[in-house]
Amino acid sequence: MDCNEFNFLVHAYVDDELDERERVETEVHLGACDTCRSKARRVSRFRQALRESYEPETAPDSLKVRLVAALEAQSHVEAQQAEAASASGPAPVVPLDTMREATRRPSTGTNRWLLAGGGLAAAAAVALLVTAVFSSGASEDASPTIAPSGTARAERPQSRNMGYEPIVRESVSWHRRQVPIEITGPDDARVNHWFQGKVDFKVKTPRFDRRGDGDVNLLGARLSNVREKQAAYVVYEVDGSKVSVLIFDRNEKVPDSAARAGERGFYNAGGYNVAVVEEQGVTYSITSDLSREDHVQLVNAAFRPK
Amino acid sequence: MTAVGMELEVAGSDKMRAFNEEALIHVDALFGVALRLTKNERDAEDLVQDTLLKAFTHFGKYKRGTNCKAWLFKIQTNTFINRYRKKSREKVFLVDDRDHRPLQDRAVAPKRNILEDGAEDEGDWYQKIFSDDVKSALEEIPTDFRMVVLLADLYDFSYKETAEIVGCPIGTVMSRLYRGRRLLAAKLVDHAVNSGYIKHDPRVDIEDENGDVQKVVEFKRRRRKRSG
Repeated sequence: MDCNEFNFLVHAYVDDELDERERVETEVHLGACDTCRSKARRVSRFRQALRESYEPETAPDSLKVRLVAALEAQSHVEAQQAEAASASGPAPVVPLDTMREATRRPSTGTNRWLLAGGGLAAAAAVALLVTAVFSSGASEDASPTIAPSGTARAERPQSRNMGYEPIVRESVSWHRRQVPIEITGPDDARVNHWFQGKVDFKVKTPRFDRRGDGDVNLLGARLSNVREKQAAYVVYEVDGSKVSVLIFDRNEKVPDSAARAGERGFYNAGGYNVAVVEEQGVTYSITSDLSREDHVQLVNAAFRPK
Repeated sequence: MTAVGMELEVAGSDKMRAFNEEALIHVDALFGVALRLTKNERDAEDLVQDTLLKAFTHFGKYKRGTNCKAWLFKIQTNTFINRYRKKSREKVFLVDDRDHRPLQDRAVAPKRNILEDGAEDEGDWYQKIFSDDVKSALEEIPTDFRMVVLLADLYDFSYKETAEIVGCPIGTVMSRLYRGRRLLAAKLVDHAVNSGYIKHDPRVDIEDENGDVQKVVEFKRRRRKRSG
């Protein structure tokens, strides 16, 4: 062995990863070569210093709470699927009602802190089930193409609305993502309150129930971001479909005329309907799996032009 | 379980109990590595949650009593590569020397790395490195190298386990570890110089790319000949 060969082997030698013959050859060379001996010492000391200085993180408790709840929910779903499979043959589908029921059932587990942290755990269970229920949407790889929906083009001049494109893109990306929920519904006052001090604008979750018919359920919310600004992300279930809303303060001057009119644009991106609405200086981006007609109706009911 | 950490325990079925005992005990290690890969807490938490849910779903495929930790890290690494890395479109530099001096200056500069080619009296700088320095230095080196250094140096995986987790041959683990440590050392020296831990700039340079590749090729050839 020469110094050149040793140069590459030095790391494996220090890590004790050489086979017997390589190790012996290396040590013979080290016995004869001061330069390589000091090189091996340096690598060894560096590795040791690295390990000694490094303080590994522990997973945050909030993650652990979420994990346990998610796993229990998953376990519950699996048990039901197994049951359904044995009762009615292959391809079990867990109906939405059953899943919803699963999230509301108090934990039958004996875990002491899970019981103590019931609220958070339930939130995590909801997050998981929201994911499970809605994950059959558009495929993750489909790249969203954004086009203003037909009537919006007719109703509004395009110039301002084109500025919404990045927001639309991010809204769809959030809508698709399977993200955990930090605060559960259905109490919107409680959700709005939760955001106090967490974002620097007043969060007012849209009241889709103003539509007056059908089933609207505020599932939960979490912190998020849009174009590097902090935002509130709120998830609803409307007639069995997922509706998500990003709420944020763009800190951009909206022309008075537009603000008065309750400026809004409707888009279709990656198979999702997205509406962007400005109201009282705050921007709302509403994304859903609903049909275009239902989506427009839902948005217009919640945001009535003044 | 660590003293500060909350105990993880999922009540319920036999599968749950087994998952508790073999998989959930690794949540801190998974999170630690996830944090270095994603570079932020929220993505790290999402990555760990995705990983453990996937692991739970496929727990039937895992052979009880085998290396669960390596199995989990393989899932986490694949999940990271498939989702987070694609998303962030991170640039991967094969040689990340970030040396912006004109070419002619670089050509005459001494080609050496403090880790292996430094003088003996320069050897003490790394007695003064801190955890946060290592963490930020790690996050500055390319993902492929970072992953291997993390697994092999900081989370106690052998070369063979690291190769399985990352999905590459052992020879590749060796060359990435070799280069990863050198890059890391260079970053740490930079930091030590900037912070005044060491007095003079030892002028760190990464060795000639072709030279290194040649060495690795040579080494692989020798290994093959031996085992053949």
